[in-house]
Amino acid sequence: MSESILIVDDERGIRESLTAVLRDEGFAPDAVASGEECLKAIGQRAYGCVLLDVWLPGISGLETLQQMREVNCDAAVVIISGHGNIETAVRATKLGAFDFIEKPLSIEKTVLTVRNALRQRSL
Amino acid sequence: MAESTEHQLESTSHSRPRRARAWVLGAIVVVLLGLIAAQGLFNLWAFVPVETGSDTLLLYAISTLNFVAFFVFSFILLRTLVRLRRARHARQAGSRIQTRLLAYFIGLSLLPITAMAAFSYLFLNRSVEKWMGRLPENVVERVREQQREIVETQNHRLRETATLLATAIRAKPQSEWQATLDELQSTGEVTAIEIVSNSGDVIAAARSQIPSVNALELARVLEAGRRSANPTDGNLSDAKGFDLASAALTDSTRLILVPRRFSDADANDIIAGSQSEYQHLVQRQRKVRLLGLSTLGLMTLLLIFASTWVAIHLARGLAAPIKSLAEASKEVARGNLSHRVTTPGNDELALLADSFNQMTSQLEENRRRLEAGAAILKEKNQALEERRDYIETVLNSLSTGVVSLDQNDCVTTMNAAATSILRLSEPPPEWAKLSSLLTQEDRAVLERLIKRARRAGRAAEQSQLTRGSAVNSIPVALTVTALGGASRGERGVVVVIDDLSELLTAQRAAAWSEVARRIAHEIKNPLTPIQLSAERIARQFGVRANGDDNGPGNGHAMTTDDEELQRVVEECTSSITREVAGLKYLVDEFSRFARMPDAQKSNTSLNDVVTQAAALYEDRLNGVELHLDLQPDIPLAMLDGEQMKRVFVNLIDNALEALTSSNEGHVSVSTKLDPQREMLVGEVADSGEGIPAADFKRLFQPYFSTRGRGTGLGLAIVQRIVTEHGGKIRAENNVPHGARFVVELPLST
Repeated sequence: MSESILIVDDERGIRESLTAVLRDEGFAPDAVASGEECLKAIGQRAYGCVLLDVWLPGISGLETLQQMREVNCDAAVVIISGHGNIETAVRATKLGAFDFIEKPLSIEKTVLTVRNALRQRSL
Repeated sequence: MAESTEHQLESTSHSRPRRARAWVLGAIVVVLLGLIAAQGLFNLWAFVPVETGSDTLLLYAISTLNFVAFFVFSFILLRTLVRLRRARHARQAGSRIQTRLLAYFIGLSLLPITAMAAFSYLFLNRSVEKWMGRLPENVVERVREQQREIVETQNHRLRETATLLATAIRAKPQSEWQATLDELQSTGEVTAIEIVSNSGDVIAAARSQIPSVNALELARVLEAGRRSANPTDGNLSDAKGFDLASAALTDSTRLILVPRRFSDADANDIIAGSQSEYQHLVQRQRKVRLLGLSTLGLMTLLLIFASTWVAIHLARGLAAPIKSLAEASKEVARGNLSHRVTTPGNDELALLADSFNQMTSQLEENRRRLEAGAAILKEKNQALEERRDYIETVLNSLSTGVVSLDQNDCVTTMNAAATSILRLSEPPPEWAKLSSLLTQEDRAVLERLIKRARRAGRAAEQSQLTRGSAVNSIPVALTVTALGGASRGERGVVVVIDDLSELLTAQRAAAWSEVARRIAHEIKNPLTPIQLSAERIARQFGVRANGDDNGPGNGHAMTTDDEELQRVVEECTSSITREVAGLKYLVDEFSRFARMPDAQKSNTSLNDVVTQAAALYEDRLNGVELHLDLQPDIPLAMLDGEQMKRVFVNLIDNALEALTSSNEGHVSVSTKLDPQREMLVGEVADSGEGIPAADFKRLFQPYFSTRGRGTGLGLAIVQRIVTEHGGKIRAENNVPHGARFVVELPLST
């Protein structure tokens, strides 16, 4: 069974291209556009990995991460950011994010990170 | 007079230490005056005739005493007058009035004394003359009486003798008469004896020899006797020369008898005695008169002394309080208000002195109050001064310019910030017109605002101060507040000028930062699907071309068209990927500017930072000389080493870029300490073309690049870092050419 992955980004282009790339790589990706939707989605399905954008309309990526932890979501979270800085990275790590990748994403880097995250989670 | 002297002495004795002497002298004067008065009154000289030696001695003793007294008093009086004169010359207080009083008193007392002396002199003269005139008259009277008695006795005896002789002759017969007469004549007691008839015929006569000198006199006497029985001629019975007595002999005859001639010796004796007595008396009269006159003179002098003395004491008594009042006034005028007048007695002068003392004590009290008030005022003034200093210090330490103007728009205060904002080389002189300090455009802006503030109380506006040229123009916030008080239109105002350039720069930087963040976000987001899609296309094409069974066209050999297509796809996707990377770099630069982290400051050596920055360019100088001039002993400062390194890297980079076209020249980097301002100063100067005047203002704005390449964020980042360190950066043209960037960093932050 292919690993289910949730993509959270407000950019439709990113959602679509990431979904296509991950599907190409054999994952089963879902995509949502906001933190609220993300929280809803994780309540409905158990994802192995969540690719979470920091900048989101409504509740931010980091807040979403915090709330995910509060509902004991055990998915490996990889933060994606267009303007990542150290503070955000540190905060995200403190909240249990697995990794931090910067936009624009490359297939290689993204797939590698997702695989690492999934492997980490399975350990 | 003596009483009043005593009274005066008494009244002045409190203030005079030599009162005992004055008393003694006064007593002497009184005694002497008493003596003289007693002599005059009781006519002592009448009872004490100065005939004996002891009397003369007494007279001389008194005279000597008078003389001595005269000298003593003269001396004392003279001394007093000299002292007074000296005091007058020295313009001592009270000396004038004392002199005047003295003159009045002496003049006043001299008048009656002189009159009295003159009167006494006349009276004395008269008395002495009268007295002396009586003495010789008495003597003459006595002498005359005695003489008369003697003459009468002699006449009586002569007549008796004549009668006796007549009786004797009568008894004799007429014939014997001649013989009898001769006999009688021979006794020698008779000068001539005759018997004459009543008709005057001589019957018998006898005559003794007489000197011829007297013969005529005798004949005349005899003739008179012959003519009349009772001759009336006084000379015949005056006991002088020849006297004559006649006695009846018979009825028709008379006997005439002329006795021996009288000499004048007895009467002369008496007269001579009287005359010598008179002479003696005359002599005595001179003496007495002299004595009387000298006594009178002395008494007059003593009176004058006494009156003068009294005058002096009176004058002194009057002048002393006036003097002490005058002295006190002087003291008071000199500022010594604690001085008090002490005047004995309780007369009007003492009352005046009391009033004066009250006045001075009130003045003193007032002065004390005034001084206390002045001290409080001084304190308040000092407090005000301190407050003023404080306000001035506050004003001067403000970065906001504050200018206060009076109702005529003259500058009353201007703080340092205002001076610098208005680009004045030095603080303007007080009362300079504001309009004289500004350019026409700036003046118009300010005057409009001031007018509005005077009308409405307050006016504010954001504006540009051109400060002479467009290059110097800065954005400012102007607030004008009218000062309370005077009527509208005549009020002073306070102009507050905020230099907004830094604020605007910061705001602009913040806006740019926000823009950068947004751009980063907005660009990077679409870059992700572009990148992913390009990679995916390339990947899908590669798989198909390599015969991967997952792709469409499975099992087909690649045609030339396919190969061509794959080449184009690869070229395109790699081009897309490259451009995406370029865009990412550009966006990352923006991001770096946008998300500049807070400085992590620690004690860092600026020299180390500069050295590390310079080291990065060691192999990239391309012939340009990079010269470091670092002051060796500058202290450590609180700096973020990494950020500061970026500052100098950017500045050196900038300088090297300015020299790129020429590939020669030099860049110098220096550090030094400005101990006065406690600032570290770093400078990066190049020998390039310098900065055009118009560019200075925009130099540090993001996205401004003179190079036409690069992100245009280098100097903006530099300024941001420097500002976050509490420092300042400015650009200026280097001498002789090139640009110079000066970074000033405070030591304390």
